[in-house]
Amino acid sequence: MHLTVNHFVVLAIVLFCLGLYGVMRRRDFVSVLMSLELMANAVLINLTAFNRAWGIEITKGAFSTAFNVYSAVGQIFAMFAFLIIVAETVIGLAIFVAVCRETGADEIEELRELKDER
Amino acid sequence: MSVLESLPQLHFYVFALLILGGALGFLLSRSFLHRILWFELSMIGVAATMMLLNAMVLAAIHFSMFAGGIAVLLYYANALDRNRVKLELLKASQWESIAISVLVGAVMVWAVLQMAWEPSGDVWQLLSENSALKVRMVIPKANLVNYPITPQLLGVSMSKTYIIPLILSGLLMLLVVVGVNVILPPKEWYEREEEVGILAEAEEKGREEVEE
Repeated sequence: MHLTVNHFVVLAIVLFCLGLYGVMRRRDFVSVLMSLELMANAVLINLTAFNRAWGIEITKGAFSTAFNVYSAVGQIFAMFAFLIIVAETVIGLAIFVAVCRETGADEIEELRELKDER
Repeated sequence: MSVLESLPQLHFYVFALLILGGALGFLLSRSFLHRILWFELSMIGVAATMMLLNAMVLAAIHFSMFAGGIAVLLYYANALDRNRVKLELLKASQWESIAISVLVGAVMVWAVLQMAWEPSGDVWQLLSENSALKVRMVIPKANLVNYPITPQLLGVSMSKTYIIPLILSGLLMLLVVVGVNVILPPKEWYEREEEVGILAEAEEKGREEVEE
């Protein structure tokens, strides 16, 4: 049996589901963030596999008349997705550190109360 | 013969084991240090899978960013969390979580099995013939085998065809840097705010006394 796109897609689905389970079950912020990254990595695997299967295209270059620009579309999409994941992680961690700075040991109960008032 | 069929199967299964084993270990371990190590293993597996798929640049970036920088960052962030801030956003029990995950996975697998991934020969021919506009032409599949995706190819593609998304992602990164500075001002800022507050309070008090 040879490798097909389905192999990679099923691998990505299993990884996505494990990440989803982590998001639902984990209680601490950093672990939830890591679970989200597992889910995002599933997307990256898919994009790279699609690129390998059907990827390279000749497309028109932006701001030019050149049409014979080769582009590895899937990998480039994966790269942009990767940038977004990194941005999400950095902003998430910044919010988390801000919460940690703002709340002392005595104020953690207040944080829970805020959650209940929601 | 599909391009993927030429890839070594054993490598795929070993890397899949690394990814899923790492993810499972991450979910099951209690110590945060172990969790980070399992997470790293999973990320290394993803980077290796990318190498298998001829995405060397992506694999290198993934390896250095996720298995390197971000994992260390997450570890330090967890060390900061002395109060153990609990989220409890989704109060799903273990069995509910498993059921939802399995259900989502089953729906996705069903959708994938329904999908006709391989286009018929006519579609490929049509795409190749429809090159009069010279805008978008798919290379015949036979030529795709072992086509090298070099950093040069990626660089040229990103700077010519995908220049606008590239600029937008640069802007996004700038916004992230500015956003982090807004969310997390330096500690002196807090102290200055406190000082300003104390001074304002004292001024108010003095004014009240003068009025009396």
